[in-house]
Amino acid sequence: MNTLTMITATTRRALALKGAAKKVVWDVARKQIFFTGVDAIPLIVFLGAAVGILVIVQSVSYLPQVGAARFMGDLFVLLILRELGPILVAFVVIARSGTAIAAELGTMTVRGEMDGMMGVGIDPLTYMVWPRMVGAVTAVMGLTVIFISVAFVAGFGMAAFMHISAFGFLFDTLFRSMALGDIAMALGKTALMAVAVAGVAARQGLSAEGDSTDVPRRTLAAVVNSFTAVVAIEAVVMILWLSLK
Amino acid sequence: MESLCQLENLNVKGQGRGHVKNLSLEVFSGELVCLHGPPGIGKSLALRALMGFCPDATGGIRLHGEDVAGLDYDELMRLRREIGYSCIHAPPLSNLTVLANLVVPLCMHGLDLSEATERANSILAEFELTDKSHLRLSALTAQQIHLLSLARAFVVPVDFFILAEPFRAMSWAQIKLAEQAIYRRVEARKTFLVCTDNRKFIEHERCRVVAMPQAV
Repeated sequence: MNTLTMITATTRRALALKGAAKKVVWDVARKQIFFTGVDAIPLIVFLGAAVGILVIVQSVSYLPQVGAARFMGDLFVLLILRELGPILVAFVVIARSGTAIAAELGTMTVRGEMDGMMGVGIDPLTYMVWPRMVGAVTAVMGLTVIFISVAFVAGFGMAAFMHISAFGFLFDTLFRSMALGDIAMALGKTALMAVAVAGVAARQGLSAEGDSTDVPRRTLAAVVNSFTAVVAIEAVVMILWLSLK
Repeated sequence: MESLCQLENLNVKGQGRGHVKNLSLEVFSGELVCLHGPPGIGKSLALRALMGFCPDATGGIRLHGEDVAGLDYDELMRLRREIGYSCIHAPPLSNLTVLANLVVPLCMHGLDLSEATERANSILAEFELTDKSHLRLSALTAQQIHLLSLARAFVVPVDFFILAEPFRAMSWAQIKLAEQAIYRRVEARKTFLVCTDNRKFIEHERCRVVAMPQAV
């Protein structure tokens, strides 16, 4: 079963769940949201602030010098909202949650726990994979919003603090350049990346076999394949976006 | 009597030392069938193949009248829900508590949470694990984990049980507990296919012993 087939099959089966089964699966999803989302907030806030300060302070300093001050808002939207925000959050999620999902499911698979689960009629796709996918999507979208918000606030704040530009002026410039489509595109891309990361990691974990030495191998493969998938999604969405505009 | 499972010339190549060669057997409803043979001969592997865990198995495997090899993933999951399965190589979930390990399968079978919890608690009481219900598996001994694995097979409301090495790595008291749980259900006309090298168990009057053929 390849990753795409697994994601489709998981979604189809999970949507057919009813009653207590649905509640049990949502309980697992809630824990995943907490681990992928809430636990990652400090790191995302730090990264968002650092990237925001770097990009915004330098842009605000240099663009007026080369007569390109009118492109400032477009540059903020392009760099932080549409590109850096989604992809950096996805990288953080690969490093934290992708590895954790692959290692956890891989360990359970080689220990025989997956067989035990299937032996009593629990489908690992609905009970283990679906909650991780839902958790990853919800958490990653939330983290992206936090990353972007912190980046703008920290960047504009630092520019104001250094007396390079006024805080209100920078926000005004940003809102004039930002369209609803930009936000939708960033969040949509983020959701796709989260599904890819959780799907790739889960598939690698479930493919573990033999003994525990296969678990780090699968975890490594999950990281490499997730990075590839995220960069591919980034490229495809960008091409589609430009061709639609 | 209805035939619940049928193996015809089953051949499975195991990853370890056990291989199954030309195993044939049939289990009818209400029977206690014991697949007997020395350790490492491939008894558990045969039962794994019966549950559809060995895609490379050859020969006829029919479970509840259905050809296991011809079933897709969803059909196999549905069929497994009609069986209580326990295997020493397929332990309960280590990230759940003892109670949750019994409640989750029941909820996934469609029982509501309160009904599932009540049933799980009664099974835990039967296996003398009530005081461990809130613990995770890391806090249990290997023997208690094996007992929980057996309890999980019995928690699902089914009439046919497939148990691979249910007494392995258990203390005498736990073996007695497990045997009594099986005999009680045999008296209630439930069907069992058990593989074990426990000589005392196969001497039970209701037990039909099938000798595991030696793989050459």
